[in-house]
Amino acid sequence: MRSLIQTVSALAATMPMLALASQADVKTPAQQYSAVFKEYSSVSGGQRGATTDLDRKVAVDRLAPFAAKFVDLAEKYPNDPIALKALRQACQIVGSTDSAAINAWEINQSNFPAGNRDDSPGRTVALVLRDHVLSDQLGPIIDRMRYAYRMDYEPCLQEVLDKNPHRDVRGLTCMALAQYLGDKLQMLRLSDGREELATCYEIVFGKDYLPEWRRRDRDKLAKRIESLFERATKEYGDVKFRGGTVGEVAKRELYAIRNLSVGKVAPDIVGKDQDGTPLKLSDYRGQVVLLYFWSEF
Amino acid sequence: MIGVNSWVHDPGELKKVMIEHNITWRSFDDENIINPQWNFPATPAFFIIDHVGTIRHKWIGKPSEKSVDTALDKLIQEVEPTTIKK
Repeated sequence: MRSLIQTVSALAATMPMLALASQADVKTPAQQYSAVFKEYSSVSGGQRGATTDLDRKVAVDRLAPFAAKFVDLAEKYPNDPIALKALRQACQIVGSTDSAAINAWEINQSNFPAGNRDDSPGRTVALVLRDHVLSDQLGPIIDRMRYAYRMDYEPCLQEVLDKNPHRDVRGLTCMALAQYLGDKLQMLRLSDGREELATCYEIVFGKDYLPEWRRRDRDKLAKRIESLFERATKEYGDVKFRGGTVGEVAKRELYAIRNLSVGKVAPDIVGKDQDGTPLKLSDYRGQVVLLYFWSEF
Repeated sequence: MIGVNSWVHDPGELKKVMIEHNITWRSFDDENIINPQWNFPATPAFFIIDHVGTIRHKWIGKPSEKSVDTALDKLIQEVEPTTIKK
């Protein structure tokens, strides 16, 4: 009873503020963006400091609703420079909450937090394609779609690649699409025989997510990825990309596809082992070798 | 199994890390690799290479132990009759 009274009085206290907010509709889009951003900043990153499942859930539950708030702003002010910034934030938030959910699963098979199931990714993509597909400012949002899981991003990246008039944006998008699809192909390969991973994707992204990817033809997917990297080297080789160029990164990716794939002869590795003794991969010719690239974590 | 470590960069440090983590397999120290054509994939990454040096399986990330074991067993059975070394 006591808590009910408190709730009622808390509601009453917010009423005048609500009235004030509607009067203050004269706030510019930039001011509204700043207000949402300020509120968002106070909760962002909370999931990284979380140590228990409950902490993680609380942090993600606080963070998740901001994706929709940013999308709302972008929807309301499509012609204002804040629109793309807001969409980028929405993308970033969905990415953070998705990663937090997957990490929670990977750490202790816990389904806390259960991920964000609102329609922000779909709305983000619809607005990007409706209002900004020709923009020269798409780089940052494309960058956030690159390593994301959501299926909505694939057609979005493809359409930007097809329609955007700016060569540098197309170059980044070409790389982003190839890397996005490459990640999904790796995910498919890893999920073979790992039903617990399938459960994780089901909890975080819904039951159709992995089955839908699994219906894709893996060979075709691999070919498409290769041709995107090829296109990146040919058409966008000189476009700046992560401290280097699209061409440099795409060439490395193509090298891996062509030489470090199943069916290829493994390049030799010549070096020293932990004792400083010379070691060659080819020393083990004639035997079956499990080669494990590892790091301390 | 052969490892390639791609994190420890101080000479001599790798051995210490490996003892600490009870890692018993031989491992390249990536700083000491003369020919870095492998691009150093994100870790963990697993490759299964057969007796003639062909890559037969590849996982970037952590596959199920069962997938790795099954793949290894199958390959070893396939290879064993034709090789002397095990």
